[in-house]
Amino acid sequence: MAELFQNLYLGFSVAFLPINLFFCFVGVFLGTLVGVLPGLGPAATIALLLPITFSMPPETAIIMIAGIYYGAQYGGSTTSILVNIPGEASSVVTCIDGYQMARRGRAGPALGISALGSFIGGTLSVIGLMLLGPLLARFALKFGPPEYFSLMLLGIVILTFLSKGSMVKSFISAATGLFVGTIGVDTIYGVQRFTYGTLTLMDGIGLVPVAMGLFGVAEVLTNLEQEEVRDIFKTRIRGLLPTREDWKESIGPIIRGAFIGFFLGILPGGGAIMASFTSYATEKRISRRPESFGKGAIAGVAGPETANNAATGGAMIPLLSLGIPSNIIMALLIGAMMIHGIKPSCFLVKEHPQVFWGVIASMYAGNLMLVILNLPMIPLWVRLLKVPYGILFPLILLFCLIGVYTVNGNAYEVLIMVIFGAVGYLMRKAKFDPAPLVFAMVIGPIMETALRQTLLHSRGKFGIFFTRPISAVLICVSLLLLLSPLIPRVGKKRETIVKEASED
Amino acid sequence: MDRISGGVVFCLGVCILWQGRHLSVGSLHGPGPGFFPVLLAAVLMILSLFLILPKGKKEENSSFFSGSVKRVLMMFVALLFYFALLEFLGFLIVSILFMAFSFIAIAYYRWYSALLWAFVSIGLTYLLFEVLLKSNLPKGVFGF
Repeated sequence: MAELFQNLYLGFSVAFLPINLFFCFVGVFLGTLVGVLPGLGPAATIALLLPITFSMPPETAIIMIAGIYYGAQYGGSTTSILVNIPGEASSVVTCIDGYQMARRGRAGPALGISALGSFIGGTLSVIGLMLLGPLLARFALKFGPPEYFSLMLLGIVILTFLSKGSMVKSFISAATGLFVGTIGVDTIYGVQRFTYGTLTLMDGIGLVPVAMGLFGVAEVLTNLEQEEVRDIFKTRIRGLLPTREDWKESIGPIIRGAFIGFFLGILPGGGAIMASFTSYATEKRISRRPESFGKGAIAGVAGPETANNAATGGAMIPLLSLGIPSNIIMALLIGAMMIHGIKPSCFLVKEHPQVFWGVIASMYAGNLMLVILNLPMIPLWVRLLKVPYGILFPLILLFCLIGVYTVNGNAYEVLIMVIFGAVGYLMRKAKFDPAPLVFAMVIGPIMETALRQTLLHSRGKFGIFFTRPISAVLICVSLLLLLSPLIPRVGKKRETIVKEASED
Repeated sequence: MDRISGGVVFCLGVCILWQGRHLSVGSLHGPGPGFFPVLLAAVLMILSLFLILPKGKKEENSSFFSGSVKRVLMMFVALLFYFALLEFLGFLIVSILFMAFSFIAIAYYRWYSALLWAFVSIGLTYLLFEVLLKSNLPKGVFGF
């Protein structure tokens, strides 16, 4: 226990350095901004800002990026409630009851409870991260190559299970991503693969151009195809603070949401989307008035909003203790850490305590800033929604172009981004989810090395994945998930979740 | 629709096999550099069959491209031009041209407000990235 306080003291002494506080603020501010603006998500923003972080100390860089991540979860709920457009996939459920509340003139309390719920969820999950993270890191010492491979396989399976559209297509997307990850120099023999002798490809295809192409450029191209009609809900927002009645109805959902979110966030590939849906389903089931859901029940806003923020804390656990990203944002975060020479692994807590505890402590500060930032500034965010797309889209493209160029000062990476922009556009049209591609691309090299090491070790026997207990459990869960769509009831449930999620 | 995309995926698998043919696959005991790509190509080709083979289901006859594909194509070509000219003309000129083109040809602003927006946005980003963050944006043949 004394050790914990000592670590926390270290963390806060890092987080409260003026420079770290400043960049924490920049992170949560930008996160809220892009969360509000549809068409520019946290993935693209982080990719955009990666070059700026090069000159910072690693903990500052990661504090800012983490800020963008949980800031975007806050911002995403604002547009769900006011305009019925989820800024982020994880705030899709908030649309259901949040928008109904807004239509009945209760936009204020809806926004208020989602900000406060987010704060509570975020804070509780940071406490969980603090307690569980180091424990899990110790557990991770038992992980060898087979366990790593199985865990990453499970990550891909969960991500494809949850992604929009058909699972086959998501798997194709993931396999393509794994292939893109093999381009460059082979990690074990040092042989060049698919480089055609070019210097640009020798380093492998960078994460930044691919992520910006698939999420930034492709999104703009898709939006350009149709005339954007955005219906701004005209309402006076007053009384942001929920009444005592509102609190009574939402305190249960908030606490349950925090737990659901945190534990689902830990699962690789799952995270915020699954958390918000599960919370909504739970609240609806145990509510005394389930018929009020969908018609503006405040519990239907409070629960999911708490859950998706709590998931952000949970999602940091596998990253900081195992070095495995649980979603795309975490994959980008790994990219940022590698640039700063930090190899995310189970030794991170020991080797870089200032990063681990500094980031955790900054999340307390960041969550507090977000409440302060969000409650009084909601009218401002709403006005931002009225920026015409005609001005917005060239700026988004410009930032992508600058961002990609400045990473390595290599114009060919601009070309790679443009190509992946076109690929992403076509994937969207053909209903392939681009998220698994990026996720798989990042874990591809780790996964390949783990697989090859395993086979070397076991002399070519695949049985080793089933004889080691941790690996066997992970593989079995993956198989269950893979086969579950064949069971009609589960398959149907997945379909409804996916259907609701893809309406964004 | 699904059949076409399945075909594309199948071709991707074939391409990976063909382009990676000189990489040694090794054996299961000692997998070589070509092992993982071949495995992936096989997975892609098998998965693509799930898209190609199912038949009988009537496809809803909505066209693949809706709305103004012309704008998308124009934007894409403009991005390619941006790449091609970036190191020759330098960041400032190319970006102003690019922004002006986007505002006029794609967002349909009048030319004077388009130019105004182009100059303002490029001026601000130049200030932010080149002056404040010292990002070393490319300079062209004119030296700026």
